[in-house]
Amino acid sequence: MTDFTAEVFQNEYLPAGASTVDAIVTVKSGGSGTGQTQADLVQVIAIDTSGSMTEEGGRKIRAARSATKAAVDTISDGVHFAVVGGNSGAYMIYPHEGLAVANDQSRAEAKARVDRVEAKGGTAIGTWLQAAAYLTNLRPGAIAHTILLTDGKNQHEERHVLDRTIQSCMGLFQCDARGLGADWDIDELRRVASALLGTVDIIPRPEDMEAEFTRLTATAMGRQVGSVALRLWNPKGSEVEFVKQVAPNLEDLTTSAVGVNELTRDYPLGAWSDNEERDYHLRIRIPVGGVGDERLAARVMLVVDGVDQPAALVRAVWTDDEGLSTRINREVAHYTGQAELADAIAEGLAARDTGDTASATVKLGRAVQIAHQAGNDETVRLLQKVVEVDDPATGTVRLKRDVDRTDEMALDVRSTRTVRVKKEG
Amino acid sequence: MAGRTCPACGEPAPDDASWCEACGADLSAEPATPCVACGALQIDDDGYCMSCGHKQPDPRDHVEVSDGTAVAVSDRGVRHHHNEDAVAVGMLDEGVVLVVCDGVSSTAGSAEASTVASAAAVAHLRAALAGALDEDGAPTPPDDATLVAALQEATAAAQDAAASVADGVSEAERAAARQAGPPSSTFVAGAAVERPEDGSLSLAVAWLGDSRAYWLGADGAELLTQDHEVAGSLVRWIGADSGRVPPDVISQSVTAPGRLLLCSDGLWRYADPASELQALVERLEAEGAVNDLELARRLTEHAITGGGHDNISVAIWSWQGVSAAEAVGQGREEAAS
Repeated sequence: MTDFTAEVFQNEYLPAGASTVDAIVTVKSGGSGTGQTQADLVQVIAIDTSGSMTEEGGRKIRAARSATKAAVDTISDGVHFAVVGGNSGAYMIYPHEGLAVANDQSRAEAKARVDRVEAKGGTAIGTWLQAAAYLTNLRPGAIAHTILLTDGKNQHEERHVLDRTIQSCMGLFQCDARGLGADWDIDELRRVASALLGTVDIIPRPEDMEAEFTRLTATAMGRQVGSVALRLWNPKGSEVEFVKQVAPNLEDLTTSAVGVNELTRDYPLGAWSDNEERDYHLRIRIPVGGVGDERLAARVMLVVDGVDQPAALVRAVWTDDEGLSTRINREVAHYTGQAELADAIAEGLAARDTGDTASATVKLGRAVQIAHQAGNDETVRLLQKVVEVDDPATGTVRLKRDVDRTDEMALDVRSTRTVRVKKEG
Repeated sequence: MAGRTCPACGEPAPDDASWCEACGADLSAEPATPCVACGALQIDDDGYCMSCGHKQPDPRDHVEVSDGTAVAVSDRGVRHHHNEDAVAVGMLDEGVVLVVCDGVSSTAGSAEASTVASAAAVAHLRAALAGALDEDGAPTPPDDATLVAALQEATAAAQDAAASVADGVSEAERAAARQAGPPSSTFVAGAAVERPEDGSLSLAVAWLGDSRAYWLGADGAELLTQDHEVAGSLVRWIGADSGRVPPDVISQSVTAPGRLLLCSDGLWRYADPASELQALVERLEAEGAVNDLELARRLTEHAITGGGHDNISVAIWSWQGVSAAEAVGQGREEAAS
């Protein structure tokens, strides 16, 4: 059994009359020591085989084949798996039907089938997800993971159909969604990944695909716990303004709350590996107390496969000592900055798209400034492909004239990646 | 439930006890109480109401102890969120012992350090000063040298007790208090023994830190201690990092009635110098402080009204003087011999 711990970072002191409590909760999973998962795993690889994959002289489909074969090679013995092809419908590439059990023979057979995959037809991502859901349902209780690859937009399916499918898949499997090249829609894959507790990213060039598929599969093979939830108790009369994952990336969980009782809600966190660490930002409005009063603003518990694990406390203490109440907690300040960074990038890129150069320059400049101060080196690097940075400290930038579309998309899709608080040195 | 423990000092107590035998705290209060803020009945193990989240008052926030005519009150005050002070009192056959410890609020575990230190000191003093019986079975009060020695040993016992608390501090608390050091406390202990043979009272006080002892006599007020403080910082205290630094000890004899009063700086900073404390006591008596417990409460309130910047602790014992007849009788005998 993997043990979980939760640690709270906050300034519990509030000035008289204040009602908003901010806290960062760091959740860590322990190590079982074996490194090998004992859990029942299902791995589905769903790859785009639509007609557009034949572009670039077939480079894309060839890269998809070798990436999928590399992923198959990474699947551990005994894991149930399947490879699904997707165009305007979904079809089985391997096995013929249902799930295969990974061993040398099944992996070899799977790779042989993958080699014969041809690209043709349209793109209806929802049908690919439905196939993954069907396959996952064959092993109820297993920890299921899907890699979803597309190179294009969801053209052959209405938006509401896709959204309904996404909803029906929630809680069944975790999905990492990847877009190849520059012709896919970030918002579409972000909706998939957010709802299915996975990640979204761009694979700018076909030759990058193999390493990414291998990495994603290896991570999935390390999953130890299928279902973890953050359980929050809050006092009567309080309101959870938001619950966000803030590291390793930003993900708003507020609306995913499942009521347990009048004062308690669960926020599903999906599957966890050993020795993982994720940070959450809670903002809660509670009834105001008098100076000198202390109130529990939140009791944080972790529900691991249905079992409660120890709690951490978010407190509120009202004081008339300004020296205490004006202190800003480092972790809260840091992640507030990371959220502002993501917003500045999103707003800056949107302004740039509509030709509002002035706003885009201000927003992206602010993004450079925050990223520089907080140590988001990767984000600074991505920003530099879109803007010329004159002075990172003040956020003085100029928009670049010619920007590669994949660079712009990479900045957009990775804007929600965060860095942790720098260690005090 | 296998018995209960005293909320003030943590010593085990029988279920039917109405007073703690270790520190004298009142144990008669009903333990299961509804939330003070909303009246809900469920309180979690951390002391928070399970409905409105209100932190229930810590029984340590306001502590009153008494033994015979010796009383003490300790209060959290206004600015501090916990009461790290501790008080303990004990009657002797022919006198009294009083102890006040001011736990250092910047170090984790200081409340426990001050509590165990004060309890250890009183326990030691009561044992050491329980007068031996003479040939007729009458108790013989300890002489001045015994008084001073007992106070020195009691200080050592308090130091050992406070130092032992450091072992119980969790890793997290230790990390939080990394710069601050281990649990620590000031210490002041006073002992008084009547000398019916000459109508006097022998007083002795031992201290480390800035908690004080006063003699508020009918013939004037006197500060008995000198703060171990330099430029606003404590230079002597008790705790794991203090070693067995010897206390300062003074002893003297008084004949006029008066009060022995020990207190933490949470009180004397609102009534300094001794003459002002004396005037305050007289005013509070005139306003209706009919006994020493009421006086101790009102002194505490005085500090709270003044701002309550620190925990406030005060211990008091009044001496009426050796009764006139007894003193006269003793005097004649001495004159005759």
